[in-house]
Amino acid sequence: MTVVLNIAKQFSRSPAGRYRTDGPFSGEAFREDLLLPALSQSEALEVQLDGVLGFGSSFLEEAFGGLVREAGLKADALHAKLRISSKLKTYEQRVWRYVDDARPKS
Amino acid sequence: MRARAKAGATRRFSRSRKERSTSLQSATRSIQVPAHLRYYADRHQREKFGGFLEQVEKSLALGRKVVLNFCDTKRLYPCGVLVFMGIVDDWIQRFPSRLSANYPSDDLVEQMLQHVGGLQKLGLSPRKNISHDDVTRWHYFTGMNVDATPIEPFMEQVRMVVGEAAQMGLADCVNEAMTNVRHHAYDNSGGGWWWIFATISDKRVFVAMHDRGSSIPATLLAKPDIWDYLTGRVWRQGRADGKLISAAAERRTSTKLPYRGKGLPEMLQFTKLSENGELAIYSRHGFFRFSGREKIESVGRLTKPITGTLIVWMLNLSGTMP
Repeated sequence: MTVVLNIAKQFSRSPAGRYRTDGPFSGEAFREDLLLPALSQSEALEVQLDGVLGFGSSFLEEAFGGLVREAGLKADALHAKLRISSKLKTYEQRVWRYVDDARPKS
Repeated sequence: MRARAKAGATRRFSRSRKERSTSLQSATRSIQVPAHLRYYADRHQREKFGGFLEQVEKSLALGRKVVLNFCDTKRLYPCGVLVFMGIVDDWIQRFPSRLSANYPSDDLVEQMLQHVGGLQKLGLSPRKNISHDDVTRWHYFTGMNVDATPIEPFMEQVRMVVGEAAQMGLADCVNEAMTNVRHHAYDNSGGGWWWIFATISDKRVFVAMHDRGSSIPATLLAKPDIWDYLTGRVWRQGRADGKLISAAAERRTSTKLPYRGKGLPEMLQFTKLSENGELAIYSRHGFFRFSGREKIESVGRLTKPITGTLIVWMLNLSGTMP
């Protein structure tokens, strides 16, 4: 069963910043408080980006790239389990670029 | 006898110095605010503005009370208002109860200063009905740390005019600029205050953002390998700060982590996508400017340095996609 996580409705319309110390709606807070629990409790997760007024690359990189770099998840496993939904395809592409760029360099 | 006379003279001299010092501290000085409060684009007015700020700073530091005299102030420009509001907040914090002002004689100037809360900060009660379009169309925000919630009303308005894609591209850049302020400008000590002034008119967006942190050149110079980037010629010509700002905008990061330092490059890239977009970054002694209309990037030196950074951004978002 696919679990849906809507950033605008369940987190903030104005997510921004990288770390918790940056501000109230940071990428780190989103990843640790919503994204990781949702990933661990579901077979498949759809993250909806629509409805947000803007992100900033630090938020997106920390939230999604951080799944690999900080939380130690495998990028390939994320490609299999996670779906990013956005009317603007550029955001979906950016999320996957951040995930792939966060892979450990061999 | 002579020794007593000398001691008396010293006491008299001491009293007189003390009296002088007390009278200096209690003296109130009225300082004329320039006719045009402008920072961007006009060097002459920028220097006048800088001179005014120096004069106030000096008087306050000497212990005087200062009354800002707005009688001759005829025009406020957004970048000037932003720098002014930043330094007023700073003065009020450093010199409590020493700064005040009189009401401006120009109606528009008073409306604008009331709109941004400047008069109230200087101890004057608001007395105008803010009605002029040249005032109401401006959104003023100030905040600490990375929190884009206060700018939501402006972003909603932008979205209605230019559509979701262009608005989100703009918001991404503004959010990232706030993140830069938090991570780099204040060195994580004491938060990261920022001031933003923004408006949209006929798909043309103006955003100015100011912080009073340690400046882009200072942040970059803290990293040893940036020295390789600067040449002796650049130092001699006094253009080092401008070159450093240009380096930051062209993705030479201060953190050296591959996933960091994207704020200014993204802003520059987004400006280049916009028809006739302009981006100017003033920081410490230097500036960097990109003009889409003139198709140039330039760097230069400021005669009077700015504390922190001022980013002035003008975009035509009619056809811009992030």
